[in-house]
Amino acid sequence: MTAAPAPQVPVAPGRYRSRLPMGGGVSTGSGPDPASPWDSTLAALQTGQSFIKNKMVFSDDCLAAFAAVGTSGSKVRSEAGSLQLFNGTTNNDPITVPLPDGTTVKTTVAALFTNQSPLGQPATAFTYFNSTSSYWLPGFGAQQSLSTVEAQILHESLHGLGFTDGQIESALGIASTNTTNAITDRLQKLCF
Amino acid sequence: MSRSCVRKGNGSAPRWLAALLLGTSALAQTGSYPQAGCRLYIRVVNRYGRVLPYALDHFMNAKGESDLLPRFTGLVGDDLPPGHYRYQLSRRDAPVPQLQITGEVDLSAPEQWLTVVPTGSVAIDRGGRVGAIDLGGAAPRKPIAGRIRPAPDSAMPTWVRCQALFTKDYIEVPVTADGSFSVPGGVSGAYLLIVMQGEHVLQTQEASFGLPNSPAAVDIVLPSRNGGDGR
Repeated sequence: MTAAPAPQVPVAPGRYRSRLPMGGGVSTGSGPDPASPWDSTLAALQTGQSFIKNKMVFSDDCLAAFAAVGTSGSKVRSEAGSLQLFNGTTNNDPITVPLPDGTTVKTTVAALFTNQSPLGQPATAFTYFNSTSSYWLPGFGAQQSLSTVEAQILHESLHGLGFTDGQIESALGIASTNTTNAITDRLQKLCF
Repeated sequence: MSRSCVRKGNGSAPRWLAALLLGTSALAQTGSYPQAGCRLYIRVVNRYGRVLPYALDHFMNAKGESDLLPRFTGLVGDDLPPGHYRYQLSRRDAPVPQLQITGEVDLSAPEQWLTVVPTGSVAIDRGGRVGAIDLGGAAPRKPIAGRIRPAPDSAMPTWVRCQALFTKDYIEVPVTADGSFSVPGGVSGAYLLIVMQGEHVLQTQEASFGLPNSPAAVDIVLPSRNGGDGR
């Protein structure tokens, strides 16, 4: 498979970049075929990952956010560039999930990314703490801007560095939410 | 009588101070609080108020010198000197560091209540590795349509303050002339909807958002005034 050329990106934060053309980034040799949801997601993630690793200039607000959480821009950049990106729906490793209702359920990583997720909705991403293993929902990125994808990568990188959602929310002064969208939203606002 | 917790005397205090403290203590015992110190109730719940299985790991004073955990029975602490404390709670059915809750509390009143709502979801694999589950990518839910009946007087500014019952979160949304309002679909948890007009509360109503069986619409009926039309 040949990945489509990545769109041009600026080196300064906050400038507009066109979203990656989802579904048209893979060629089989006989004309453009629609890419699978995971191929498109992986392409978007890799584009974002490359931008963060090689070109992104963190704004002062962004660096202040990282410092508040307890890390630095260089550590986040390194972690983002090191994340190993996997299709969440193909990982059948057994896991235990302590649910927000006070019960505990045994399931698989793959089940987190389905409509039958014990959390009531499919996960966007699942990243092990103090690790570079990160699992993603196929199709993520199709409806999101590239800066949203990149903010989600930063969010997962903070988990990879060991920080929990509670710690990040507390450090950034984010009201507690059932979803963790607020963290990605805040990082997008501060960093892009 | 002072509203603060009562400090216990110590052996080096002058007699008059000891007597004063003894008197204050006696007063306290016949007053609104029975013991010489603060009582703290901790309750760990989810955003809907459901109790979660957490236990207290430690309850340290600000200097980190002493752990008052022995003064707790479950999540109720007794005879706690006033001051600033740091605490840590662990989820009993999944005692991993990533589910621990740490926080701080100032004790000054004879009895205090502390509601704690943990955030974030994790999963644990067979090897004990813990990961964060992020749910942000799902399509946003549709806004919840609200209607106030009868419609409030449109000459006065009217809005609904949606106050979370178990966290400090709130949002405020305007009410249109026909009494309708809209709560963003991303809101989840148990809320008190407070219909505000100018300086006054017209009505309150409890509502839960974000559950599979949560209603798609909310009706709030204003109390009737003097048996009239509800205004």
